[in-house]
Parts: sequence; C-alpha cells; structure tokens
Amino acid sequence: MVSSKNLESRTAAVAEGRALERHDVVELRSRFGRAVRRLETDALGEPIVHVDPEHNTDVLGYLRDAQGFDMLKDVTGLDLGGDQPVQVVYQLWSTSESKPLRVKAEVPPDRPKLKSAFGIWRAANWLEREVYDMFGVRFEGHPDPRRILMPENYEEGYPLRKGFPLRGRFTRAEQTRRALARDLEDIYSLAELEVARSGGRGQELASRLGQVPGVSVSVAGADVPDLETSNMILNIGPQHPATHGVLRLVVELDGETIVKCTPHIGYLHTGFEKLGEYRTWNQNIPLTDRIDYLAPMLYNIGYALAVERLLGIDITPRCKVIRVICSELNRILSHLIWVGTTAIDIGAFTPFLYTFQERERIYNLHEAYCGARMTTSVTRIGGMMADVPPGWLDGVAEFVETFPKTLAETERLLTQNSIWIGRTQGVGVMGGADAINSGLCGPNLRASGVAYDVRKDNPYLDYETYDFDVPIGENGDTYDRYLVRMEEMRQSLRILEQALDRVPDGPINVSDPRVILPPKSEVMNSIDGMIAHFKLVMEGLKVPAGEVWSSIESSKGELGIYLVADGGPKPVRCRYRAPSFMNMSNLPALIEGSLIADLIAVNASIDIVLGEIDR
Amino acid sequence: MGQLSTTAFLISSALKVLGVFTIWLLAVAGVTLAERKVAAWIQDRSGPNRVGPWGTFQPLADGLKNFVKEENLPAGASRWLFYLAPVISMFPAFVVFAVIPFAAPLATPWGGVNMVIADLPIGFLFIVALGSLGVYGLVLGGWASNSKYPFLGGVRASAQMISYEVALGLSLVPILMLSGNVSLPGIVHQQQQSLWFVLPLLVGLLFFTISYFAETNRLPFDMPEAESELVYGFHTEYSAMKFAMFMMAEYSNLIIASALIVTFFFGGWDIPFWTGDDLRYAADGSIAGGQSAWWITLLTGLAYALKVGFFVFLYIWVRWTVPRFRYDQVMALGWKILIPLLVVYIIVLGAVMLLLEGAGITFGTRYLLWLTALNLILMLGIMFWLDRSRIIVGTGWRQMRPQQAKPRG
Repeated sequence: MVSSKNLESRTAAVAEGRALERHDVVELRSRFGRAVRRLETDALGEPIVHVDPEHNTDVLGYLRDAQGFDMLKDVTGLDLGGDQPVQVVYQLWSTSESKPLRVKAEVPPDRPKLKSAFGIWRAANWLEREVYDMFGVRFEGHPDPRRILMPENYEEGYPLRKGFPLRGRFTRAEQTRRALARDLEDIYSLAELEVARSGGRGQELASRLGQVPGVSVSVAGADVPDLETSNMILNIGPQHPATHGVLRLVVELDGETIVKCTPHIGYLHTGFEKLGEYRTWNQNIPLTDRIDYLAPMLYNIGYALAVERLLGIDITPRCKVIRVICSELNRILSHLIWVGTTAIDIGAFTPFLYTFQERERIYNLHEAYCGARMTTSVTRIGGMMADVPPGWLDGVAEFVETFPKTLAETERLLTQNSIWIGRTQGVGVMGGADAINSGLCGPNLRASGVAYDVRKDNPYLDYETYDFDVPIGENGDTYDRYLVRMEEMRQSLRILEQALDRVPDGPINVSDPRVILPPKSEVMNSIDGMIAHFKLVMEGLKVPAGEVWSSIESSKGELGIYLVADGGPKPVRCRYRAPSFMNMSNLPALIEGSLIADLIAVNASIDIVLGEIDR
Repeated sequence: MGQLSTTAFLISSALKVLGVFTIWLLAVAGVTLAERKVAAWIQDRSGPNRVGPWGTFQPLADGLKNFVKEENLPAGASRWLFYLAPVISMFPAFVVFAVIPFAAPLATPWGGVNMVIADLPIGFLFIVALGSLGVYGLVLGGWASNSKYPFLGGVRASAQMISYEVALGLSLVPILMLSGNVSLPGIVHQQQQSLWFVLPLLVGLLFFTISYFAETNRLPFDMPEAESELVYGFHTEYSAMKFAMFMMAEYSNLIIASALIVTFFFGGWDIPFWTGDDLRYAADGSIAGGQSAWWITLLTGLAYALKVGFFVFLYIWVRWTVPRFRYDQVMALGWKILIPLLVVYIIVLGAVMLLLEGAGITFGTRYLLWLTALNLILMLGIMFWLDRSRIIVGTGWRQMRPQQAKPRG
C-alpha cells in the first residue's frame, strides 16, 4: 500500500478524494450514518474516519467483524492544545486485504472518556493504559485501568497533553523531595515485602502499617492475596539477571507455578514522544536510536522514512539500497543478541559469546560508517548523514560471506539439543488468531503461523524487488520463535547479498535544498545556496501540515511511527508504536500456569528491549 | 616389613592428612581456574590472564578478595544457621576424600603405608552418608537467608538432592553386586586383577555420572542456583568468605565426583596394561603383588590425578555446552526414568550374574567380559530403543520451512 514508489499516485488519490471512496469507508458511513462524523485523508491518502465517541466500540467492533480489520496496530492520543478536543487514534489493519484504516474519536479535554476496545482486541490492553497515562483519557470497561509508564502514584498530570510542561509540573526539588519521602511500602505491596513467614518481617511490616496479617491488603491498586494464603508473591526485577533491563514482574506463585504475572514497566521511561514535540524534525533522529538501542539504525530509518512520507519526497536509489543494507545488518545485530541472551536465560552460556563476536563485527561496521557503535543517528531526512566510506561495502560483503559459519555453529549448539528442545517446545504457546488479536508482532507473530511482514505486506525501500522468504512457524511456541529468528537472519543475508550487488552510483541525498543542506561550494558561492543553508540551519525543515502512520519491519516487530505536523519546524505529535511494548503486553497470557523457568524462557523469547517498551 | 607401629601409624596418617588436604585445597583452587580457562577456551575468549603467568594466581587473588570483602547478613535472617550453612556445605565435601585411595601402597622401613587416609571397612556407605549431608548446607542456606530467591533455591535443592540421592544410591548397587565388598581399595584391586568396571558396568557408569551431575548441582542440573531464574539460588544473599565456602564446596564436590567415577569405574590409581603396579596392601601391613617402590606410588598417583583431571574437564565441558533443564524435567528424569531403569538394570544384572555363576564361570576376566556384552546390549537398547535417539540426534527438532508471505492484496 505505502511504498515510496507509488507515493505519487497516492498523492494523486488524495487530490481526487479516491481513498474515501474505498468500499469499506463507504459501507461504514452508510451503516453508521451520523456516528461517522467526518472523513479525512492523511499524507499518504489513507482514510481517517472520525467517529462519535459514544459509538467508538460499535464502529470498531463492526470494522473487525464485518470488514476484516483483525489487527489493532496502535491506539494513541493526539492533543492539539488549547480547548481543542483530545483525539484518540486507532490504527487498524486488515491482514486479509492488507489495508490500513485509521479511526479517530474526539473527546473533550476536560473530562475525556471513551469505551474500551479491550473486548474487541486484547491488544488494546496496554495501548489504552498508555493513552490514559499520557492523555488522561479514561477507558470504561478496561479490566486494568492503571497508569503504565508513569508511577502509579504520579501526581503531576498527563505528560503528553500540550499544557504539560516538558520538565514536569513540579520543580526538580519538589520531585526529589517526593521521591525521597516515599517509603518502601509505597512502592512495593506488603505481600511482596513479606518473606518466608517464619522470618517475622512480614508481620513486623504489617504492624507498622497498622495492618493485621490475614486481612487483605490492597497496595498500589493491585489486589494482593491474604497474607494467610500459601501463594508467594515474588518480585522478579527490577534488578534481576534475566529481565533484560529494568523490568519488574510481580509473580504470584503457587509452589513454582505462576498463578498471576503482572509486568511493571516504565523504569526506563525517557519521554521520547514528549521530547519529540520539542525538537525539530532532524533533531529527533538522535533520540530515535536510543529507543531500541539494539537495532538503532532501524529506528533511524523508520523515523526518516515517516518524515519523508509526510513531506512526500522520494529518496535517491542509492540511499534506498544503503538503508536496506543498514536495516538488514541491524536485524541480524538484534537477532544475534536475542539468540545469545535467550540461550543464557535457558542456561547455555556459550552461544552468547559466539553471537557477540559477530555483533562486534557489525558494530565495527557501524563505527566505520558513522563513528558511533550504538547511537548511530545515521539517517537524515532526505538521505543519510553521509555516503558510506570507501571500502565499507566490501566490509559488509565480507561479513555476509563469513557470518553463516558462526550461525551454523550456534545452531549446532541449540537446534537439535534435547534439553533446548525440551525447554522451548510447547512453552509459551499462542495461536495465530489469538496472536493477531492480542497484538503480538514481528517474529513472534510469524512463529504463530501468521505470514505478516511489513516488508512484504506494505513494502518500503523497494523491498518488493528483493527476493526473500518470510519464515513462518507452526506451533507458536518458544522453539518456533527461535527457528523463525534463525531463518530470518539467513533471509537477511540473502537480502544483503542482493543489495550489495545493486548499490547504484549517484548521490546519497536528495538534492532538494528545502530538505538537505546544499553542498558547501554552493553555500559559499551562490546566494541561493547560502539562503537555503541559512534557512535550514536557523529554522529547520518545514513539513507541511498533515499526518502519517508509517511503519517498517523492525527486528522486534512492526515499528509504527505516527507523526502529526502543523507546517512548523517541529512535530505536533511524534508517536512510536514500539513492537516490544506490544509483545511484552502478551507476556502474562503466554506464561500464566507455567513454571518460573518457563517465564524466564518466554520472556526472553519474545525479544524485549526495555528502552523501547518504556520509551 | 610388617604392620606400622602405633606411633608410625599416627605420624604417617598425619602426614597423609596434611599432604592430601594441602593438595586438595590447591586442586580446588586449580579447578576454579580450570573452569574459567576451559570455559574461555570453549567460548573463544581469553579467560583470566592478568594475575601471574597465564592467570595462574587468579584463585589466590579471588581468595584474597573474598577475605577482605564485606560480609552481610540479610535483615531477619537466622544468624546461626546462616553462618552454619556454608560450613555444613563444605565439611562433607572435604571429608569424603578420606576413604578414596589415590596411589599404590608404599613400603617404608617402618612398614607398609596404604595410600588412603582411612581405609574404612564401610568406605562405600561413608561416601553415601556424608554425600547426603551436603544438602543441609544448601537447604539451610536458602532458608536462613530469609529471602525469596534463596528460599526457592533451597526448596529445589532439597527436592533434587533427595530424588537423586536415591538414584545415586541405586547406581552404586551394581558395583556392590559385582565387587562384593564395600572397601574402596578392595574395589580398585579387583579392577586391577580383571577389567576396569567401566566395561561390565557401562550402564551403571551412565547412571552414576548423571546422578552425580545432579548431586553436584552443575549445569544442566543446577536447579538450586539457576542464575537466570533464581538470581543465584540458595547463596544469593551470601558474600565474601561464606560465598567462597559454597564455591569451594561445589568444586570439591566436582573433584569428588570425578574421583569416585575413576575409583569405581576406571581402576582408581591403576595404570592400565602394566602389572608392575598391581600392589595390594594387606591387613597385616604387608604389600602383596609385586615390588613396592616410591616411584610406582608416585606414578600411580599421577595416573590417578590425570584420570580425575579428565573427568573434571568433562564436567566443565558439559557445563559450558548444554542449556539447563527445567525443574520439573529434572524431577521427572530422576523419578520416572533413572530410578525405574536402575531397578530394572539391577534385576537384569543380578539375574545374569546368577546365570553365569550357575554356569560355573567365576569372577574373573571372562566373567566380566560376559557382563560387558550384556551392558553393551543394554546400552544400545537404552539409546536407540528406549530413548529413541532423542538425546543423540535430538529427535523432535523441527525444521523451519521459509515461505513467501501471501501476495499483497
């Protein structure tokens, strides 16, 4: 649908208003009448349906059941400031027809309230919590309407509302004072602090709180069981060897069986989305690679692509191929650390070091290209930060040639290993339909048997011209997730080989002086060049008013970037739909009823990176 | 040459204890280094190489660090049990070696000296009894820490140790049946006279090794620690020297496991294909079977160390190669596979021994060769019929069929 190739025809479609004649939109309108308030198109010509907030779930339910929009990709908010209504944006996708649809509901900013879409898509669970957390929109009927990224007792308000200052409502001194004034018991529930009963510490804490053991204590909104029950509450994290960052899983255990698992995230919340509204378009790029620091270039590329789509510009052929090379290198980079850390979590340490050596080679390539190893910031809107240095492509070619050996060695340690098979097969199973409904994405979704890959279903960077396969699992268990990722690395190598063969000569950046700085010779020698340079440096790039929901296939899943521009030098909204966030929200469903060891294995297998979850 | 006088016995015993203990501590330190060096070698990295030549003094540096590190005691911990646990854990690990013969007996001017610290007539039972004491250290350590991860580790430790104690005990029964005595020097002597028991008790060796992997809490059976699940299991809350004591216990147990495998199945200190070392210490202090000499004792001691070293290497090798079992899989393996199979094995072995003796074949090389044949058949049966080569080729692995995603709609 949205390849940069047919951007032009797309723009034409907007002009003619054809997108709004799409049969699903027409049917929707005829069926719901005034509940569909108005129709718009975005920068790509995709339809946006504004619905009456009273009827949002009716429309969404109809879209899922009658129109085949089985995938809820994103729920997010949009505040335009002032008294304008807060918009809640639902980004839908139909896997059968490969088409998107955006539904918006406008709610008054003072008492925003909507019906929860959780009953339609389980994927809405965490997404709606995030909208509540960031915009204060309450979702009626949501099973767990708590804050998600901010602390549960956060008092400063809703950060992504325009009225919320970047530094927060309280002064730094006040924030520090409040943080220090908090007691352990404010953060952790009594049942978590209570240790083996004989220690007596639990009773001591209980009496300090004026509680009596045996009375149900409710702390921080979570229902904790009686102190008299035999279930143990175990806090896995925030510091734990197997949480891959600062993640806290509160696990209720019956013996070693997990009765209930509640992930607590937000420890690494950086506010990239809020920060994005205060940076110019190009200044946002260094923020993007800090989100998923394990595949930084993918985020750079995804973001640049989204802005370019919003601008309606087409990047140069050389840039496209270089971006494909960077994307696939980073996919391998991320999958390698996935294999390594998952193996560690299941007890095999050695594959980790094998994969790390290969990662080191990719990092060396990063360094040779842009000087940085992790925080690459390699793209610019309209191109790359520079052309690749001489010999760099040979380095990539050498990597492509030698890497399969290590991959095979790693596979030999794991694929047919009986213990590995025993630990991963049948663990953390989710079927295809469930996986689509609950927002599982990327290799996890494909392991469940759903052949959805943005590179195939909604190609960008000319991915449709590369010959590669999409590996699909059958059982949706941890073992399939492993196999899918191993195979994806091989497919990435195939893409890399083809890309290396076709790197065209020519400029890496577009020659549009409104987007890319003109060359120094022009700046110094012509008045036009100097003016263009001056305007770009002083004012930044201007993006025409409009919005776009653009996505790429990141290593973790579908990375959606929702950008809203008002014609100014900075985004109005800069939303990252993080694939890890979606995958993580499915962890409880995947592991409840299994053992602690499975929790660790499954948690590792869904490939989370906390920077991306917490943003 | 005759029996040692009481004074000479005391002096020789004291010297043996001192010597063995010193070498033991050095060996434990050496194994910690070996673990890291072998791991590094397997993982294609350097390993410790800063302290001393080739990192040789790394264990000393570790020891020093552990001496000066801060000791901590978690709030609400049971103080005495918390302190006692590492000691309980270490004590059996250091004492079991007393009954294991480590070299050929040596004739001295004061009488024959048996190269085992204490040739207990119940050597066998001593090992089993003390070996199972070690679990108290783990359980108490986990419980006394007053912390949830150690607690879970302790629970796992007790369950696992109890289950595998049974399997371990059962896997020793075939040796008892074959050797007919419980003295370890006696068992070594029998192997010298005929065949190493590895051949006639091949299946027994398999089960014994697996059980001892579980007993030593090494990967793939390191349930009580399971660092990616339980942080560090039963010793999460331990630091400094108490932590080091747990580590020393672990590595001592590793050496003991190897030493026992060597003693029971690989002829102890016997040097193969050489009858010059077939010496035997008799109860009256005389040494039978050949001319005793200091170099024979030394050579056999070295042979013993080499064999033990090989099995230590094997343990390390396995640890850095395979993933960890899940807790319930460990228990299932113990109760549902090892124990029933061992019972069957014991019955089959007993029946065949009875048959052989009925056929007039007495204990000797021929007798053992018959048992070897039986064991080979059983081994093949276990591997290819019972296990259906699940372990060897990992049957049950699935292949990924890459496919094109559906064409765009």
